[in-house]
Amino acid sequence: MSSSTRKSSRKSQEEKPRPEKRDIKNSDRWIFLMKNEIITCNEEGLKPTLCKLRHPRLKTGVMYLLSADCTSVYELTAFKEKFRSWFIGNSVLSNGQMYITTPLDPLFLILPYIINSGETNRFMTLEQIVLDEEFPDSHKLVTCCNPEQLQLVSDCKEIDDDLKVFKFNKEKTLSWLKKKTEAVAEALEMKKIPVSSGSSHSSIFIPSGNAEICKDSYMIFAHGILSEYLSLDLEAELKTFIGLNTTNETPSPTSVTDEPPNKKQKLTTVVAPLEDYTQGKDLKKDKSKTSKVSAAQKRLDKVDKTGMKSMLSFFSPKSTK
Amino acid sequence: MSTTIDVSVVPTRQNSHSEKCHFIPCDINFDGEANVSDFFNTTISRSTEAEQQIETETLTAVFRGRPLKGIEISIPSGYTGIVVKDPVTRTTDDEDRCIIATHSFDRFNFWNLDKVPTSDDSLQKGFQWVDIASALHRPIVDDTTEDLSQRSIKGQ
Repeated sequence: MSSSTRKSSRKSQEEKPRPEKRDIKNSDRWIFLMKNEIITCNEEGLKPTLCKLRHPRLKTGVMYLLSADCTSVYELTAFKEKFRSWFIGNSVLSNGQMYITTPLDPLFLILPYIINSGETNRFMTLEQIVLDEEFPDSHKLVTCCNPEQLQLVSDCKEIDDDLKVFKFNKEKTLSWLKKKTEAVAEALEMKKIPVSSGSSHSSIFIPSGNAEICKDSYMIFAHGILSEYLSLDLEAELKTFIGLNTTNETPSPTSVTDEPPNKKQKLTTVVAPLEDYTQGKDLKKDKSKTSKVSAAQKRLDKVDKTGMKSMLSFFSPKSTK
Repeated sequence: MSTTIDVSVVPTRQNSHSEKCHFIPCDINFDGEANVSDFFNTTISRSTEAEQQIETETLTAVFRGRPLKGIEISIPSGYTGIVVKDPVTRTTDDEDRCIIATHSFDRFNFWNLDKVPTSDDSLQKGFQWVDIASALHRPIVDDTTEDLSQRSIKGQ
């Protein structure tokens, strides 16, 4: 046994020089909390797929999970805490993360495409709308979204039984988003999740006399959550769209409350891609940099240096005499 | 590049007892086999604490001389915990991959360093996201049908 402990201690010494950042790629296992239907939906050899789709707010590629039959999208939320690892049976997993797959309304992912296509002011089929060369998997969204849902954010024309074309409708979109916000606010209230800025502790939170203000802060918080799926423009528009309503009822000072800290409280879980693709890129950049430097030096070498004094001569007192 | 997850192996939960999962409050710079059952599981002891008439079973254990306190956490209903493994060591990110779910669990032990886990832990707060997300991403029903359903609720 003593030899085995010595082995492990030597191993930890070897590992020590490594920087604090743990490379996720080191471990070949991951913990997922899967929605049951992802596991049960497993027909005809089809498997759930992880694919990269354009994030509606960040505009960059983010990993999402598609069900085996390609009818629903799931968002991967990583639970990450400092100093966490797993014991699984008789093994150790250094990657102390947990990926929670929660259902995602595909409309959120399609919405940016519809808004884009709306600028041309033409009716288009959904296939045309979600075409994205950078993220070829985007076409899979077509089967995830049924046309009725799509009409919540767009006008629809039925050309024939199979062919429907759509065009972005801003008013419909805003009222759809408002309903979403209300649904979230309701859920927050039901779960008694503290939303007042400043207190992150449930016991400090007192749902005091003024229920209206309370409702408002739930709406503001819900809007903050929704904003994670909206472009900056749409976020602002939604705010005024909802804000108008609340000012009609009570011109409350709560609308001043900051949102960023609220969001941070919520984000104990962080939406993160499965793997860090930026790392590879950085490496390449570094390489190109070094090659550039050497190229500059080569060019310097070519310069005609006849008649030039050596740099060293300026610093040696003897030669000036 | 695409990655598929093979979950066909999973559904039987019978093997989950032998593969108990522990969420440990420390970084371990190691991946692989370790004798958890002999050197960690043997230190676990259970005790029940009644607090505000709710009995909770707390666990205590020792890991490398550090006292750990934990509870058994059930995974939110509707969800299953699975462990997935990449059977092939990858050389590039461009390959098509198939990762395999090796086993599943519906509860696990959550450990804190010398502090009994409570609902204020970030993990439990993270689980709240499950409920919020389901409210957020539930498809909105069209106006007319929604009104009808609301009316029927009010009718009660």
